Order: sequence, then structure tokens, then C-alpha cells
Amino acid sequence: MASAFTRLHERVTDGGLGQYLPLYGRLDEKHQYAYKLLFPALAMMFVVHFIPVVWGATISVMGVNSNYIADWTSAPFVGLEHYAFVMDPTTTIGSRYWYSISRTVLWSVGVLVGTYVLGLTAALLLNQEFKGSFFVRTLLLLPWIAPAIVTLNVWRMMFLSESGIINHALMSIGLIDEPMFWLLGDQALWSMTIAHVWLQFPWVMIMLYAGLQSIPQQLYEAAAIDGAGRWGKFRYVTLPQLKPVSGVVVLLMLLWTMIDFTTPYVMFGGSPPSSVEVTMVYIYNFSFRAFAFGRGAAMSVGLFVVAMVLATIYYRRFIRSDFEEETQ
Amino acid sequence: MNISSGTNEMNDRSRRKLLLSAGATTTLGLAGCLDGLTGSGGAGDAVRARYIGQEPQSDWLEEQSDAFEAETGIEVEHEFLTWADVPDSQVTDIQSGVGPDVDHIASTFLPQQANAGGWVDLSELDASLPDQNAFFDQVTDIMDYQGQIHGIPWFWGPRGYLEYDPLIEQAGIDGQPDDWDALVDQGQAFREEFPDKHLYAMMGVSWELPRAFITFLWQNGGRVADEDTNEILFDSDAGVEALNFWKDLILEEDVMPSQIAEWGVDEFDGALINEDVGAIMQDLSPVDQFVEQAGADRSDFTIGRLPAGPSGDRSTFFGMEGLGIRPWSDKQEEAAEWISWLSRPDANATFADRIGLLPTVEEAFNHAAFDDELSQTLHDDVLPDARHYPMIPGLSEVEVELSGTIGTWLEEVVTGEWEDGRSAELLDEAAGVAQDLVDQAQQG
Repeated sequence: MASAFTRLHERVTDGGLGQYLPLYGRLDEKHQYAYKLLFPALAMMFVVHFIPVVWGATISVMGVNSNYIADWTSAPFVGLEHYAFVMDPTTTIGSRYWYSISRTVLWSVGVLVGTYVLGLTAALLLNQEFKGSFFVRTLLLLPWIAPAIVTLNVWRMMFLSESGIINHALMSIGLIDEPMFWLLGDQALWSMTIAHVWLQFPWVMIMLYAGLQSIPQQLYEAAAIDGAGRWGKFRYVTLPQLKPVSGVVVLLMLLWTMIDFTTPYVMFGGSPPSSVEVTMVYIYNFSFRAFAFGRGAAMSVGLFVVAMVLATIYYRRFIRSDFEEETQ
Repeated sequence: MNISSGTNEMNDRSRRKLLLSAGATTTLGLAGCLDGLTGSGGAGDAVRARYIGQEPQSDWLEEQSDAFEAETGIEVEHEFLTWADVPDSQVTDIQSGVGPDVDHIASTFLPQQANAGGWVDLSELDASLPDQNAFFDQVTDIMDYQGQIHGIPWFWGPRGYLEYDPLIEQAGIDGQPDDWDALVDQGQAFREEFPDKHLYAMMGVSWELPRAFITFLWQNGGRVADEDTNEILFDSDAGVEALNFWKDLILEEDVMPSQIAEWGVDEFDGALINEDVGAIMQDLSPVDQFVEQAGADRSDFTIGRLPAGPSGDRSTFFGMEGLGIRPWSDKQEEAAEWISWLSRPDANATFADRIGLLPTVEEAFNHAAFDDELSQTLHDDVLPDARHYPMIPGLSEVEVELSGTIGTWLEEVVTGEWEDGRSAELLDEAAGVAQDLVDQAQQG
């Protein structure tokens, strides 16, 4: 095994690919080797992520609409006109765009809270030794494994006002007197949040469960000696020890939800109720149904900036400080 | 050979192997990507034909293409798109200039794709195509956009007033409503007999909402837009009155259930099949479903003209789909032959019958599949009322805007958030956005 690894190391280090990287010569052999291993993944990310981002940013300053579908390069340069148009809250389009951003943020925060609370609860449950824990673990992963389209359509059917099981259940226990619209009005945001939390919480659960498994038992023993009860152990040992993994979970869940298209599109289709017209759906409609690609690209760049700003603030405030503390 | 030179040789060999592996991987990867781009997935000599939402008809299409090949020697390969993939796939093909030879035309996308040079002008093509006079006038008018013929009409679906007679008769209702007042009267009579049911429903899914609105608009004498000046007109008083009448049908008169706002296609058809409503604005497509699933008989249904509003005619909307040829095709004449084959009255009738819609070739109505009372009533009474959107630049953009606006309006109506003046306000806002979209599309 070791010799196979050594041979792979030699082949990669002798490949000569690294000479094209800037400052490559100043790196020590270990770091050169690491860069070479990263090269295929970085190259793929360049093609899949970087080029579309640059392309999107480029057409956001060009007048690309249905007339330039066949040859977008001949579309006129319009500078920041699209940005001014879509971000002006006094216009219909601008006000709808900002409204969609506000719905996106609200939805993302709702999903984040829901998935974290449910994921942590499930992880704590799994962390206990009990008979059938393997079965429960598998069962809890089902929402994540099942095809999202199926799950979301089932949720949609459950939320229907007349035939949906949710209203029947609420009416049978006397919580409501007549059927409610769960897929229309402000309730639609709740419905979409619940369905998305259901889809995503198993991933949070697995991440936190891994974090829980890595907490040394001695810390709980020391806390017990200091007189900590169940809550004390959770408050002063479990939560702080989960902080690094929680940081990553929160950041990723926030970003993934902000750019999620599947849940709103499957549950509500192309023209969702305004309360759930999140930015991804709005941009899609603007670009691919109204063919206003230039303006749609400007909206995408806007969402990209909002997401990056939130992520950067969060990263600096929570994640980097954790690593710095650990380093010190 | 000393150790040092042996190591160098090994290093050279390793480097060569690494580069060879990387090269081979890249070549394979690029070949895979390019295969998708050039669309060279099929046999090189075959005509590639693509259809939207017709995968269930693949066996019939195969049968037809086998017969076509036996007669002409031209091979046809079939591909299928779902409706959800249409905007992305067709746009990407026009952008890259590659894709199938024959493609499916959705009438509302025609102006966009025609402006982008996405279709061959069939009148310029040196190939034998079906006589334009063989088709209904309304459908050829759509394909004749800005002086060019962009495709051949394939099938269409004018909506009529489709009622389930046993329920209607039980409610003591005689005949179908001629005008809006009669619709309200019949709706109330229906509720007296069936307090938990409603007389009438229209589809509330996003793409149908603008069509329902413009049907009311036409019935009330309004217009969507001026085809000569491209001015948006749907925010007129007639439009506001149309929306307010629709609102009254739901809130004041209890003629239409508020649940239409959350119904998808299945729930809408299901409402008739489950006898929750007595009549719907629809083509004949749910009838066979009703017959199969609920054991009803075709004679239990009646289809007729939609009612007229106070200032307009008994209009109804129709959607139409056709087949056209892409400009990048190097088999345009063969592609034209395939389209002509599918436009023969017999094939046109059989296909339309299979999908529950209407043939576009007039003679196809003589086919046995349409030799029944429902189809003939549709032909004689409803088809003359059938209208389509005005074919203006940016039409599909306008439809999207209307879809969102009517969706918001309907949502406010059924959730109790609608207020006086809201119909006018929303239409006004939508008209402003729509006009901007049309102007953008027009400017090029």
C-alpha cells in the first residue's frame, strides 16, 4: 500500500504540470504535491463554476434579449443600465426584485432554524445507545435519499386545501374550523419552509452526529465532576464543541437555500404566489420565460453579491475566529 | 545502464504516461461535451425530429416513420422534450445553431424564436409542402408571422363550455349559458341543488391564467394588444370589468370554487371527474379520461360555445402547436417531406385523436375518430369563436407577465386580500411591464 502511494506521489510530482502555476517554484515539495492533486478538481470547477459566473457577469452589461438568442455577442453594450433598472425599488421590476430578495432571506433563515433544530435533535437522539438505532438512523435519512421531486409533490398534495391531509388533520383535532389555503398567501412560505426543512434536515443531522461522535468523553466526565447536569453538559460541553461543525453547517445551509430552485419550482410551478417568489425563481422566469437575459444576469449578479456578503460576514465572525482560536 | 539514467528513463516514462492519460481523458471528456453540442447522437443520414411532451406517442411516431422510410427512403429519428425543458433547450439550440432538423413549435414562443432566426421560412423552401388552404384559417394565420411561414400547424385545442349532463340536468338547468348573466343564474340554480358543488371552473395553473383572463377580456369586447402598433391594451376598462366579473363568480355568486387557485391540471380535470363541478372551460381532453376512470359515456357530455360578456362576443382561446424546420439543418427538404407526411388528413386526425385535441387539417374532421357529436359540435359551433393572442414581438414575455399578475390577483381574491381598485392597479402595472418587454423585443 505504502509503495503504491509512493509511486503515485512520484508520478504526480514528476508530471511537470505545476510549473504553470504562479510562484509554484517557491512552494516546498509537499505543497507542490498537494496542488497537483487539487489540479483536476480545480480545473473542473473552473469550467463548471468560474466560466458561467464570468459569462453571466458579461451578459449583465449587454442588451441580450430574445432578439440576440442566436448571437449574443452582437448584443449592444449597455454598461450598468440593467443594474440600475432591476435594482431601482421605485420601478415595478425593481420592487419585485427586492421583494424576492427579502422572501429569499426570510425563507433561508426559516430553513436554517428548522433544519438546525430538527437536525440537532435527531443527532442527539442517534448519539444515544439504544436498540434499533441503526434502523432509526436509516429511517431518518430517508427524506434525503428519496427523490426530491417525489417528496415535494407529496408535500404539495398534503397541503392542498380541500383534499390535503394537513387540513383534514387540523380540522379533526379542532384546531381550524374550515380548510385553509396552505399553498397561497403568506402561508405558502410556511409550507415551502416545512417541505424544504424535511428534505434537508438529515444532512444537518449527519454532520452534527459526526461532530457529536468526536467530542471526547472526558469532557463530559469533567463536567459531571463539576456538578453539571444534563442541561449543563449540553450547554457547556456539547454546544461549544459543535461550534466548528455548526459554523460550516449554517453557512452551507444558508447558501444552498438561497440558491435553491427545486423546492419552490416543484411546489408552486413557474408562477408561484408572490410570498414564495424567491429570487432564483424570479430570475429564472425573467431570463428563460421572458427571455430578458441581460436583466436576468444583472439580478443573478445581485443575488451572488448578497449571498457572498452574508457568507463573508458569517465566515469572518464565526468560522475564522474558531480556527484562529484553535491555532492559538 | 546506470541507476541514474534508469531513474531518468522511468521519470520520462511516468511523465509520458501521465500526459498521455491526461490527454486521453481530456479528449474523451471533450468528445462527450461536443457530442452534446453538435447533436450528433443519431445516425448521420437520418432526419432528427423533436417533439414537446409527446413521448407517450413514440410508438405511433415510430410506426409512421417506418412507413415513411419504406416509401421515401428517408430515415427519421425521434427525440422528446418535456414542457419544462422547452425554454432552455430550444433557446440553447438557437444560440449554438445546432439541434434537430424538425422541431416543435409552441405558438406563444413563435415570435421570439422567429425574431431570433430560429425557423426556416417555408415559403422560401424548394420542397413540396401541404397546401396552406388545407388548414383552418386561424391556425395558418399564426404561422404566417411577419410575412414568413414558420411552420405547419399540427394540432390545436380551442376551449369550449364542457359540461357533464347528468349533474346539470339534475340541477334542472336547460341549455348552456349564452351570456354572463345566464352563467350567474345557472350557477345559482346549480348551488341550490348542490350546495357543496360549483357550476363552473377554469384552470388556475400558471400558464392557463392569462388565457382565462383574455377569454373574459374578449367576451367583454377588450383587446390584448394592437397588432399593428404593438400597443398593450389589456388594461382597458373592459379588462378591469372582466377581472371583476371573474372575481364575482368566485366571491359573490359562488359559481366558481376558490380552490381553482391552487389546482394543477390533475386537480382541475379531477374536479369534473369527481363531479365537484358541473362544467369547465376546456377542450375535449378530459372526456376520455372521465370515460376510462369513472365509467361515464361520451354521450354524457355536451360541449358548446362560451358565454358572451356585456360588450363582446362569444370568444374562446385556443393554443396551437406546429412543426417547423431549423435553419441549421442540412436536410431541409427531407425534413419538409416528414412534416408533409404528418400533415396528411389521416395522420393529422389520428394523432390529434390520440392526444385528445383537434386536427388542424379541415379534411381530417371527416375521419372516423371525429365522427361523433361532441367533435362535430366543437367543429361547427366552437371553432368559429376560437382566437389566439395577437402575434406581437415579445408575446411569450407578455404572457409570462400576465401569468404572474393574474396569479397574484387570483391569490388575493381567494385569500380575502383583494380590495376595490386592485384589479385596475394590477392590470395597469402589468401593462407597463408588458409594454416595456414588447418595446425591448421590437427594438432588437
